[in-house]
Amino acid sequence: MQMTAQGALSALGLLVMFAGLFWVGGWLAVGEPPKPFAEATGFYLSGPVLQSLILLIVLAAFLLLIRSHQRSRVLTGLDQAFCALWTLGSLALGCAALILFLWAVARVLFGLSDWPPFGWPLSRPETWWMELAFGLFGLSLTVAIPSLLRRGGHVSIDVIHERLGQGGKAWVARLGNAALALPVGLLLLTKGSSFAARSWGQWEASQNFGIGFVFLVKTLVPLMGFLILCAAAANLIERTAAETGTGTGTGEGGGRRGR
Amino acid sequence: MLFGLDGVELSLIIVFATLFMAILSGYPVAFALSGSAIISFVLISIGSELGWLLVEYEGEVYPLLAVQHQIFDGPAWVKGLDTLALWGNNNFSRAFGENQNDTLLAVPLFVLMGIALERSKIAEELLTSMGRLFGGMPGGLAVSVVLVGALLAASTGIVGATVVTMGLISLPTMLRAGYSKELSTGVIATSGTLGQIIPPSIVLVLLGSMVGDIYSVAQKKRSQELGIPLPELLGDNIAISTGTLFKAAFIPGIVLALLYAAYALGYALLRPKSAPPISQNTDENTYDLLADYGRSAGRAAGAIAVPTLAFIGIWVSAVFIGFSGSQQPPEDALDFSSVQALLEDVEGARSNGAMSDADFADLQAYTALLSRGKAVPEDLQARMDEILAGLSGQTLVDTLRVTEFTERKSVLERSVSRFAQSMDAMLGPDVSQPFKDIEARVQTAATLDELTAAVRGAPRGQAVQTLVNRANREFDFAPYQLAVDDYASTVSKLRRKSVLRKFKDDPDGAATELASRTEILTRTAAALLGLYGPFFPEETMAAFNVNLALIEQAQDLETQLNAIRELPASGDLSRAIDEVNSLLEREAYLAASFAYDRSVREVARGQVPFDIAQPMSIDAANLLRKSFPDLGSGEGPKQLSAYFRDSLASYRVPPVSIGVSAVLVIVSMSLALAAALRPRESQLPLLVGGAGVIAFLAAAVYLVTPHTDPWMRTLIYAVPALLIIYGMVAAVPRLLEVEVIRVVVPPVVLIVAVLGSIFGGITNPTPAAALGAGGAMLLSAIKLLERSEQVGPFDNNIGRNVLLWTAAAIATMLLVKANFLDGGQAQGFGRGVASAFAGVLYVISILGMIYAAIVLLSARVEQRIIRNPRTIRSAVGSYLFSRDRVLTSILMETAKVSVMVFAILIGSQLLALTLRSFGGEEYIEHFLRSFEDPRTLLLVVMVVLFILGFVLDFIEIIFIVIPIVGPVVYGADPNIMDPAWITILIAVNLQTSFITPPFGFALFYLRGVAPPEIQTSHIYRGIIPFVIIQVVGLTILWFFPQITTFLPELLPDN
Repeated sequence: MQMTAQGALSALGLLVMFAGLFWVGGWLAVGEPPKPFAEATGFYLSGPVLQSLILLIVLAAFLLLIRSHQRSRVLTGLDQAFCALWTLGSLALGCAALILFLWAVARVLFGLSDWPPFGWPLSRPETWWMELAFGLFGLSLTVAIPSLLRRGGHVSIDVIHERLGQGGKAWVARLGNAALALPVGLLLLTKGSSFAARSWGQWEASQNFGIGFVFLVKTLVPLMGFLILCAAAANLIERTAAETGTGTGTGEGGGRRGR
Repeated sequence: MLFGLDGVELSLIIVFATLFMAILSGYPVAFALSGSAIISFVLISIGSELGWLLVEYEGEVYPLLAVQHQIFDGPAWVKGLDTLALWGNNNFSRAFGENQNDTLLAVPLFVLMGIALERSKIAEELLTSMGRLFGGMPGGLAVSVVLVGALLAASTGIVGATVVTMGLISLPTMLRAGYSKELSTGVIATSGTLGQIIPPSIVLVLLGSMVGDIYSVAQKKRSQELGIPLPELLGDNIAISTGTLFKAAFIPGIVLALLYAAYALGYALLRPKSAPPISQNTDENTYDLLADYGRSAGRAAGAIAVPTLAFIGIWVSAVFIGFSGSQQPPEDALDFSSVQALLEDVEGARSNGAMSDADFADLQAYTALLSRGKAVPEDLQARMDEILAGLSGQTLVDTLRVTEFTERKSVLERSVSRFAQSMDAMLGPDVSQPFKDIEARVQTAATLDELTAAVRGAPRGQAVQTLVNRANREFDFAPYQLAVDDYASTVSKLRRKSVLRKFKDDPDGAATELASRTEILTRTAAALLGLYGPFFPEETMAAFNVNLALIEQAQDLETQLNAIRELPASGDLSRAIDEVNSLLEREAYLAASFAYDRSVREVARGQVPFDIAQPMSIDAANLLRKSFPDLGSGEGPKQLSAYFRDSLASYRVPPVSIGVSAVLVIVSMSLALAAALRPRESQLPLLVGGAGVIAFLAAAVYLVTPHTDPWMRTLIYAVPALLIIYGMVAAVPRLLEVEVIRVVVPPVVLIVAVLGSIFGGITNPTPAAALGAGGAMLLSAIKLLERSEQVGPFDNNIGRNVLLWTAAAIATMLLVKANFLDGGQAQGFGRGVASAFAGVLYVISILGMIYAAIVLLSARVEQRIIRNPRTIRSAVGSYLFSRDRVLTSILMETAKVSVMVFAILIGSQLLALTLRSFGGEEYIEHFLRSFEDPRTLLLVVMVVLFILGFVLDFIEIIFIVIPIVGPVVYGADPNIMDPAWITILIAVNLQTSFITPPFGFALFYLRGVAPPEIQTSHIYRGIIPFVIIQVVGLTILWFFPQITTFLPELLPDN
């Protein structure tokens, strides 16, 4: 499947949704928080709790209210978005490799601590390049882990799975997505939102001449959680659709069978 | 207690049962790991809160999590959740910008290198040509599969791809040739897994990154328990790196490959019909060697083998007798190198005037003369006597002491101050005062003795631990974050100017709002200042005081709003707040307490110098200490001085460096081989080349020393080098006529470049992997241009030449660097010229690499070629997002493989945190420590790993099992159980699990591509002898650890 303009738009849509959820989890709260050295009184919902509630409501509404053909359209959109993100992740990895190659040559061959050499246009210290490579690799992981979950590309152990019937396999996919992947995504999103929000609060930059946008890099943590949630939810919806005979069949909802 | 098991034991059962159910369900392992960790945590929390999971504590029975987190009057699981939340904070920080472990970055780079090579179809070419070379002898095809497996292992290291490629290409050929199905499948599956053990291997990178940390922590703990400083305890085994593992794995990998080949040959001898020789095709395009030797294979083989073996023999002998070798001084004794290293480390000796740069240059010249047995001019001897007397006497010892004092004081100041601040913030000034007093005494100490006196009687050990426990119990961490959040949100809300519009026409409402705002702000600011105030700078406090007064006194909303807007914003306070928070975070103040305790203990004991300094200094100081126990006394300097001079006098530098001799031997072999391949053609150019080799050698022995000026050296070598080039220009085309040389040389060059740079100590695995990935991309592009129709913006021949020149530019750059720029060899104008030349080569290399990327981007995976993209921009713009381009497909496959590895790594860390949240880690460690003999423990661990290998992949084993058993296994005495040896045993064990029926991964890969007549039972039967070979290999390794330690000792890390 090629990366299409549609896919890019869908991916953008996902990112906008994430931005909204990130804002809710990082900055929003309902009610008065408990005061220091005092017992909690009154109604209070923290950002992460609100975030979780919104997600659960959206997922439940989607499963209960949306018609099957609309589900298919949403699934197609999600798959296009993941495809675009997958391409983005691969390119980020390629850029990281290129940077590391240039850094390695500069460092190993010339012992340069800056590249291009100090005083040249765009010259940056070694730390900056290394952190940029790490950031790009982090971006690659962030988008590729959920994409692989959706595409069924992760490694899995097939010792028992291959002996299961269709019904058993369906249960594994259903339970796996609901009980294993969704909680992981939720934990990453909620805990990661506070983690990243603190970083945004101080426009965190790296020490020692590193990159100036550490807060953006840290935002990848909740983003990964959000994308894992989307991938697991898509797998669940697809499973439900398949059982009701309206599946799109674009994803696999499982793993790359290793055995 | 349920079933007589306490809460920790039941929780461990819950975790492992959930984990195995999740993994074996067939759901992706990465999510099975992290998801089962969350489920287990929820189950344990419920069990603990309901009183099902209980443990004994101080004679009473309490819920598990209550004891673990010391919370007896509220829900303890919330604190447990904090432990899990470290997943985001700690582990993601590692991947996303903090505490990065750059060794892990080597994984995607090695994967990229492997996939680029795989896509260049090098494996296919190797298999075909090796098959032609060895196929004529019984069992020859099997041997060629082993050789190709080893070569691919060293160049790509991707097991799946290797097994699949060899299965697709070799298996049908072997079956057609009449090889037994068992032998064919067994040898292919096993040889394909050599990538796991022969470096550079992903398994070793992952193990190295993990084991390095585990070993350091475990040995530090052991050092504290024994009360012996770490350097003294560990000696040369101070650290373990991925580079060390690569060296340690090299010989075992080769030994295993040889065992496979020996088995194949033995099988062919015993059952010739099952591994017959194949008839050689003599197609017209194949070079016919025998034609020149009257079709006598014996004569041809003799003409080729005799000179080749002779040159290898000469080289080995030269190294053995010390004619050629490393011209760097050896490091295994207190000789010139250690003293030199010490001098270089303690730069003070030079900067303080103990040794000037000129003195150092004189010393080098003196050493060069002495080590070559040459006479030393009288004036130089006199000068050196003067320098050595000053240098190696009291000055050196004083320098050591000054350095030790500076280092110790700085570490002590930091650790005491941090711990005092933590205690002040958590337990108040009464508790922190003694530590503040120590801090004051440390700050005023001017000598080592004063420093030791400053910490005499300081609380340590159990006293510190008690304070930490008390802080854990008594201190409530929650209000701090709440106070910050409360202040931030309140100020942010009340800063809005919209309030003025809202109450513009409502004076009563405005008055109420004014009072309400004053109350809210006073309260939130008081909470913040009460907690953080003492840590805010004076000007910040002044801003608070002034503006809070204005807010209280304000008579109208506008005045108050202006004052509110002048209050320090939370962003301005973040630095101070972070500082306080870092003192309060449990991990941070625990670390502070450890650092404090250790520093105080070390100084109070008056420990030996440098155990807190850099590793090089540690080595040097260790050597000094071992040789001169009374270094600090009056006799020490004299002994040192005498030893130093004797060492210099007795040390001999080999006349020819190992690098020069290796190049000359390769050139000689190439010339001889070229002569043997074309015996009827003119040999004059080759003889000229041979004369060049002799002249080069003579120049190296008689005219060049390690301290000869590089430009002079270049001039001396110029004529012999030109003669050699003249000979090689004639030899290379002859050599390239031989298919096997043509095919083998490129990957071998890449392997030598990558492994050589690591083994030679030039760089560590990550830059080496980056260079390897770049080289593999270059090689892929060259292969693509050779194979395809028009690709990229230029004609294929031109493009190929561009890339070959790029490779030449990189090689020349390396030569310039090694000969002119390293170690300040060239100086002044000469250095400038060399740097400029290297810079030009660098730019050429980068442009060449960009061109290689364009070539890979303009070719489709299925060899469908894009014709003549008009501009680079169109090539990049049109193809970058297209998945069927070679480059994008390589990147996507790399991303996929890397992500699978890292997803499991991330998942396994959550599992480890779950174990930590209820004390499971400590329980397992305690259990493992109950084995008194470390070797017995290791044996048990190896058996467990082998069994786990039946059901788990190597990545899961590395990330799940090693962190659990590692702290104990790697905490043993490294002199009894070398850490590199343990790691290689584990790696070979994991490799064995990869081929062991019924679940070995390699068997499944092979099964997937095998022709229909091959049944699973053939593969199972075929693999069993190889599993036995693996077990034999493991046994050999078990009893002869020297196989793994030999190379790391020979080529120590720089």
